[in-house]
Amino acid sequence: MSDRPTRTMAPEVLRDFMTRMLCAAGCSDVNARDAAEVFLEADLRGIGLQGLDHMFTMLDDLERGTIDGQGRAEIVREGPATALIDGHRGPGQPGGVFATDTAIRKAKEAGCATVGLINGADIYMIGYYAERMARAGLAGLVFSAASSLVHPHGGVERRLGTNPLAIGIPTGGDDPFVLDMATSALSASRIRFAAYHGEHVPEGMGVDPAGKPTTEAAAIEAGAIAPLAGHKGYGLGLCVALLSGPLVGGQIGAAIEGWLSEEGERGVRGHTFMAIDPAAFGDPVEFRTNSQAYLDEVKSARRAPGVDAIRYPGERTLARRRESLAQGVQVLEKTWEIAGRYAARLGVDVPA
Amino acid sequence: MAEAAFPPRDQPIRRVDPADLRALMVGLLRAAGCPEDIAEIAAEIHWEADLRGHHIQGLDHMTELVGNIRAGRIDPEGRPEVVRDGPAWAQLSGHNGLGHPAGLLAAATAAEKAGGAGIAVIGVKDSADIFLVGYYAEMIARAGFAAVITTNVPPHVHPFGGAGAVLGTNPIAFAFPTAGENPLVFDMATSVVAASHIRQAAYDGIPIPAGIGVGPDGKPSTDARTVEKGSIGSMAGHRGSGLALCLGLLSGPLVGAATGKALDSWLGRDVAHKGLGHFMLAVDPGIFGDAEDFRAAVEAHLAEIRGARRAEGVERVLVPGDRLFETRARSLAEGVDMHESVWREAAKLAVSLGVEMPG
Repeated sequence: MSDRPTRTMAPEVLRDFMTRMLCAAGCSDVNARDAAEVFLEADLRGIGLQGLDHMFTMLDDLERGTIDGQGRAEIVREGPATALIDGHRGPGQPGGVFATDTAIRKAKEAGCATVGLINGADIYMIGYYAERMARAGLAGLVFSAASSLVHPHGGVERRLGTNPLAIGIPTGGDDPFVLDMATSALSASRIRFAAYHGEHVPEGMGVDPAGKPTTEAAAIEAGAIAPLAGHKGYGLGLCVALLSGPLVGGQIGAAIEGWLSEEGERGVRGHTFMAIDPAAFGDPVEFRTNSQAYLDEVKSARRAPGVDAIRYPGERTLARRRESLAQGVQVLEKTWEIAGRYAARLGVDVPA
Repeated sequence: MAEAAFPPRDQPIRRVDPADLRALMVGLLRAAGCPEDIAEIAAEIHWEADLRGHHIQGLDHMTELVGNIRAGRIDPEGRPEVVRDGPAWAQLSGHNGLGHPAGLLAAATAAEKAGGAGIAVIGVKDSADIFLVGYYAEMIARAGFAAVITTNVPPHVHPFGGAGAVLGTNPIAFAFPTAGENPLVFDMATSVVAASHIRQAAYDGIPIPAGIGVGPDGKPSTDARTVEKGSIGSMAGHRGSGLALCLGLLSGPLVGAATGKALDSWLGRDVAHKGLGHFMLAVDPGIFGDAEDFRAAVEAHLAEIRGARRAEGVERVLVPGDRLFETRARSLAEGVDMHESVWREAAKLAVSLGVEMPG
């Protein structure tokens, strides 16, 4: 992927461009701001699949009316350590940001908090929200039930989502530890991206619509992605679905469709945000020291031959973010071309 | 699928009466100095593991457990207590006793607090191995709550790109109430195989597949005894490695417990002794909606999954826990199938404690 042509842009220019596109597609100012923020944060981290390139699926959903650009998330039920938020069919990211900030606020009072978000669309890069909780000094957990693309272990038909989970934990340094992983062998973005480039993926990543194993990304997109590591990823993915779907009143399975479907997003999706305050269990400064010590210990493990460094989750992406903020953000030329077509249709000026 | 060949399925088996098995476990623990109630609690968990066919957490752990008591790492009379708490959280100390009573108290506290606050996070420090993590999650689910449990264990695992043990096999368990008789229970180690599989393979010198472990020198090995002294890899490459690290943070520093190399004394190394940490989280589905709707939605999703077209050669699509509860019922009715090698190791321990082996 690294050898594909890219262009370098100032982050502020990209943010402004995405915000104007979203506004032109019908988003309120607040919704456009939060959505552009999360897309930009993905591009800054070099996760282009979750950035501008992903905004097009949201623009399609706004045009179809499956997402209401004016929809505004609100708390519909709450207790000292819990809240249920209705996204009112608005874009996913503003709902996600609101749910995250609600979890942070409540956990700082109650020691921990669980917040459910329903009736919101895809919140995209879920690691962003876990990181946001970690930057507030808390451990953050985010679970997201997605539409069916993944077959169960032993089955060959899609029944589960790629159901990602993200966990953010403060460290002794400036950037937190952020784990963001799909429970499928490949993420939905990877399959979509490989499929539209007509690429093959390694063996064991999925089956075609007839249930036969294949390495052709487009055939897997039409068939089913394998769970991560067989029965382990299958079980993990199922548990993520139950935590983020039915637990908070959201739907899972056949009842929901995502941005990979012809018709766009459908159904009442659920997301769950949990925050835990280390101060409940001891001195928060000591906690940071101890978590950093553990990370350092793991990094200092003897390396396998040919390995230059052992890295922990979030280390590489957050270093890339710092680099992008200083030197500009990289956008694929191919993505930029598509952005140009959307901009023309929406009547938005493309930055030089 | 690479894991299917290991451990081998054709090891010699002996069928044991369930009541005899339990009495043996209680007898061993009593002889090692546990008071009756603690021996009963600990035996219950290892017995449940063997009944479920999860033999790596069963009788086979008695040797290690007794070894830890003899070495003074576990106080057989130590009892857990809540040291600080709020409406939605609690921190427990295991007071260096066995892990089982600490795990049970933590699970009961999680359920009680989640019943009031809607969510509860329980941290445990100064504890020991709680073994069958799914069992505690199941307890919370039987009380009506969704459960997430993780625990740290001494380092047996190298990180992605590494060749030296710094991570535990740090397992995670989930359980959910369903509309049926049994909750959905899923637990897994974040290592490519559980460390206990390596230990059991070492008893009979069974080779382990390539790519799983390295020796103490960091070189790849298929010899179980060599790998036992070295380390094993994480499941699913960098993702499993990241997950293991993350679970080590949640069950360690976050809840005020030790983690990582601080736990080396458990491996017989001469460092200051620290107890293990556990993390338990419970959520009340009734806080966000109707608990009955939740159970029905879980059941509907499981039915959807079970109905998926099967891969070639697969008899049925299982959901986590299906096999576990079937095996448990069969073990209770027909006897527990124990590996001869595990039985042999237990017999050695029994002799050393002056306990008689059943029939």
